[in-house]
Amino acid sequence: MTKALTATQKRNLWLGLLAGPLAWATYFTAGYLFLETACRHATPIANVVGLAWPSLVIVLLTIATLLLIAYAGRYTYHWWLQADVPEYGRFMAQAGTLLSALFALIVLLTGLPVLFLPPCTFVP
Amino acid sequence: MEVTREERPNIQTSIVPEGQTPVTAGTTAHQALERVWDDPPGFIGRLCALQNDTLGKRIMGTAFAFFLIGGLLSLFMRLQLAIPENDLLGPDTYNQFFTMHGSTMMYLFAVPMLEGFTILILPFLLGSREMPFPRLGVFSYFTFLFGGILFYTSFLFGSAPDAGWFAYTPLSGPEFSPGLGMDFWLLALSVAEIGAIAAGVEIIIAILKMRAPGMTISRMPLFAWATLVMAFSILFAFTPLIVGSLLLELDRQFGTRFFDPTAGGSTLLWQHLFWIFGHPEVYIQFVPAAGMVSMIVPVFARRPAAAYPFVATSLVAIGFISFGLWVHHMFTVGLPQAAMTFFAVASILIALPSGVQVFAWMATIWAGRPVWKTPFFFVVGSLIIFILGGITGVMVGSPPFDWQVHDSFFVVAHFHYVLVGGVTFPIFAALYYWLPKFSGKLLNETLGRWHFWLLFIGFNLTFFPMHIAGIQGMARRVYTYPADMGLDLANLIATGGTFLQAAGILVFLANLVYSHYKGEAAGNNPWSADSLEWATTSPPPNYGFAVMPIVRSRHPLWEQAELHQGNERVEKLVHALSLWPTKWRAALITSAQDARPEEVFRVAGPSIWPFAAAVTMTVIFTAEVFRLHLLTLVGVLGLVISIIGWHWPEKAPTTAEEEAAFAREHGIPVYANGSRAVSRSAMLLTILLLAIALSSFLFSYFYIRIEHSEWPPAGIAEPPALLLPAVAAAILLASGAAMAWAQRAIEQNRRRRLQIRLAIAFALGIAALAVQLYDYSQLPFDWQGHAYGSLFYVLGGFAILWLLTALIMNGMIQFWAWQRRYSARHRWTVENAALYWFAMTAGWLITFATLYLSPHLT
Repeated sequence: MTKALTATQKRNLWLGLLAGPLAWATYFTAGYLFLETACRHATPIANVVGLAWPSLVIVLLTIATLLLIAYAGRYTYHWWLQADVPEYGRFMAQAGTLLSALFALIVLLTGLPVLFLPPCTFVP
Repeated sequence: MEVTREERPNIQTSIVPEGQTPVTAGTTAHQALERVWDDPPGFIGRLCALQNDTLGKRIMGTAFAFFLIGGLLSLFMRLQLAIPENDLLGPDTYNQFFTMHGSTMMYLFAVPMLEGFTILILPFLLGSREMPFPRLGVFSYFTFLFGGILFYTSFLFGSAPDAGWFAYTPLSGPEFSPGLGMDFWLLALSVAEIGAIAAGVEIIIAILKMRAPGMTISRMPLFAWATLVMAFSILFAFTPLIVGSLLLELDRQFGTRFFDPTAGGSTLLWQHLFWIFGHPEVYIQFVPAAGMVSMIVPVFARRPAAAYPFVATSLVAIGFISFGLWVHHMFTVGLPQAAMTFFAVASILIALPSGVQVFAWMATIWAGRPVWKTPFFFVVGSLIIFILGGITGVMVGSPPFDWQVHDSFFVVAHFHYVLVGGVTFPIFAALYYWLPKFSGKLLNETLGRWHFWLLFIGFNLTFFPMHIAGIQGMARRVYTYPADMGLDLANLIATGGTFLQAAGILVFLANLVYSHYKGEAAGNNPWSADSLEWATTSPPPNYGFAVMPIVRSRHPLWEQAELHQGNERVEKLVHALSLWPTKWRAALITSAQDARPEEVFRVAGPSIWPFAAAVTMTVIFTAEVFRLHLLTLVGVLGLVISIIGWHWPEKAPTTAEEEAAFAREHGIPVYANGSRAVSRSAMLLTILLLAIALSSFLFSYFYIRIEHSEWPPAGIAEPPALLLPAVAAAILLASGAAMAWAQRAIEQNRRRRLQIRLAIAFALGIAALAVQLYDYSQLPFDWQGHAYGSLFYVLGGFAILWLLTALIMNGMIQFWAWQRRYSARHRWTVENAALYWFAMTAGWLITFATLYLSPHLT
C-alpha cells in the first residue's frame, strides 16, 4: 500500500531530480568564468602542490561538486528503492538517480584534463 | 485503414478488445459547450480566434510557407554551386541567400513549426480543453507572422541581410554593414523571437498544471516531456539572443560601443551571446522532434515504448547539457586550453543521452512488429540520417578535428544531417500521423511513399558528398570555387539531389490537396494509437473533451477499457464539469506531480487586444528599422494600451454562491475571475525571463570588464560616487516593504488600507526613480565614448525600464482596487503584482551594485 506524499517530500523530489543537472550547471558556469578571468590577468601562473593554481581550483571545485551530486544521488536512490512510495514518486527518484549518475560522469570528465594540460595556454 | 489485430500482436499489456479503443464520453450539454468554446465569426472574429487547433494550424501553415521559401533560396544556391566559377548569383546575392536561408529555416520554420504542433496537439494529448493562455497564443502567432513578413520585406528594399544567420560582429556592425539589412535581421527576428517565448510560457504551464486527472508525471506522454524541455530551453536561449540583438542594434543606431574593440568593446561578446542561444537552438528543435518520434515509434512497432524512464530522463539531460556546448562554435577564436575542454567534454558527452533516445527507439522497433506506413518510413529515415549527423557531431566536438574542418562544407553536411534527420523528417512523420486527426482525412499512402523516397534519396545525394568536399577544403559561405580542385563532381551531385528533394516536397503538396478532396475518412483512431487525442472524433469538437478523461496508465487507449473511471470523487468531478459551467470556458488545474484536481478556472475568451498588441509591437520594431523614433513612441503607447486592454477584468460570469456550492460539492475551488495557480506560474516564469535577461546583461558587463586590466578604464571615468544610488536603493527597498504591507492588507480583506499602501509603494518607486535619474544626469561620461559608458547606461536603463513596468502594473492594481475588485478571496492579482515588485527591487539592487559598487571592489 502506498501512502500519499507530503508537500515537503514532493518538493524534495523536484530537488532530487534536478540536483545533478543544477550542480553541473553551477560548476560549469563558475569553472568557465573563473578560467576566463584567472587566465587573463594572473601571469605568470604560480604552481601550488605541483599544479598550476587555476588547475588546483578546478580540481577542488570538481571534488566539491561530485560530493554534492553523490549526496543528492544517494538521497534519490534511497527513495527509488522504497516500495511504499507512489509510482510517480519512485519514477522521479529513479530519474533523479539517473541524472545524478550522468552528470557526475560529466563533471568528472570535465575536471580531469587540468591534471594533464597547462590550463591557461591559449589555443589554437 | 484500421490496423488489424494481426498487425498488433505485441501489445501484451492491452486489455482493450480489438477495434474498440475507448472513446471519450459525450454530454447533454454538447451544444452549449460547443458554442462557448467556439471562435467568433466574421473577419474581426478571425483576428480574435484563439482555439488551440485554429492557432496551431495557422502557426504550422505559416511556418510551412517559410519552409518553402527557404527551400527555394537553397535551390538557387545549389544552382550557383553546381559548376565551378559560376556567376549565376554573384557574391552579394549569394551572401543574402545563405543568410536568409539559414535564418528562415532556424527562426521562421523549425521553431514555430514545432511550437505550432505543440499548441495544436498538447491539450488533446493531455486530456484538457485548452491551453492556459489562449490570448498569448494569438499574440504569439501574429508576432511570428508579422516578424516573418517584416524580415522578407528587406528584399523589397534591396537590402536583405547578408552577414550569415549568426551575424558576427564587426561584419554586422555599423562600420561594415551600414545599410538596413542587419537592422531587418535584428529587429524583425526579435519580433518573431518574442512570439516564440510567449508560446514557450504557455506550453510550460499547460504541461505542468493542466493534465487530465491521474496523468501523473510518470504517465506523461514522451512528447509532453520533450516539449516541456523545449519550452524551458526557449526561455533560457532566446532571451540572451534578444539581449544581444538589442546591444548590437544600439551599437548600430545609437552609437554605443559594446562590440567595438577600438572603444573598449568586444567582438567576441557577440559570439558568446549568439551561441548561448545558437547551440541550444539546435536542441530546441531536436528535442520536440525526438518527442514526436517517441510517440510514433511505439504505435507502428505495436508495443509500448522501451525504457520510458530513461528516455524521459535523457530529454531533461539534453536540455541542460545543450547549454554547455556553445563555445564549440568558437574553438578557433583562441581560448584558455582548460576552458576549451569544458566545452569539448559537454559537446561529446551529449551524445550519451541522445544515444539513449536512439537505442530506445531501436529497441522498441526490435521488440515490436512494425507496420510500415508512411509516418514510420519517415521515422526510420530520420533515424538513419540523424545517426550519421550525430557521429560527425562527436567528431567536430573534438577541438583538433574542429580546427581542420571549421568553416568547411564538412560542417554544412554535419548540421544538415542533424537538422534534417533530427527535425525535418520527424516533422513530416508527425504531419502524416497527426494531420488526419484535425482534417478528418488520411493522407494518401502511395504519394506518401513517393514523397519519402524522393526526399530520402535526394537528401543523401545532396549532403553526403559535402562531407568529402569539405575535407578536400571547400569553404562554406563562399559563392564559388575554382575548377580542377576535385570538387566539381561532388557539387554537381549535390545540386541534382536538391532537385530530387524539391520534387519530394511537391509530391507532399499534391498529397495535401488530394487528401483534402479525396482523402479516406480517418475515423477516431486510424493508427490504433495509445494516447488520448485519438479518443476524440476527427476533427475534434471545439471543447476537446466534454468529460475529461481519467488516466490510469501510460497508454490509456491501449490499457484502459474505459476513459472516465477512477476515484469516485474525481469521477463525479469530471462528469459535473461536462454540465457546468457551460456559459464560460472552464478548465481544470491539476497538480504537477500526481495530477490531482486542484481548481477550476476560467480560460480567457476571444479579444482583439492580443492582435492589437502584436500590431503595435511590430510597429515599434518596424519604426526602429527605418529610424523613425517618433513612430516608435506611438507604438510603445499603443502597446501599453493594448496590454492594459488585454488584461482588463471582465464581469464575473458566476456568483460567489455558485462557486462556493461547486467547491463544497467537489472539494476544489472555482475561480471564474482568474486562477491562482496559473497566474502565479505565469508570474514566476515572467520573473525567470527577466532574471535571464538580467544575467545576460551582467555577463556582458563582466565579459567586457575582464578584457580590461583597469576598470573603469583610465581617462574614461573615475569609480562612481555611491551616495545617490544608495539613497535610491534604500527608497526602493522601502517601497518593497510597502508592497508587502499592501499584500497583508488584502489578505485581511482591508480594502481601504490596500489602496493607501499601494499608493505609498508607488510614490516611493517614483522617488527612487527620480533620485537615480538625477544621478545619471550628473555622470561625467556618455554612452558613446567607451563601452564602459555604454554598459553603464544600458544596464541601468534595463533596471529603470523594469521599474517603469512595475509602476504601470501598480497603477492598474490601484485603479482596480479603487473599483473594489479585490477581496481576501480574489487577491491573486495583488499577490502577483507584489511578487513582480519584489523581483524588480532585487534586480535593481543587483544591477546598481554591479555598476556602482563593483568598480570599487576590484
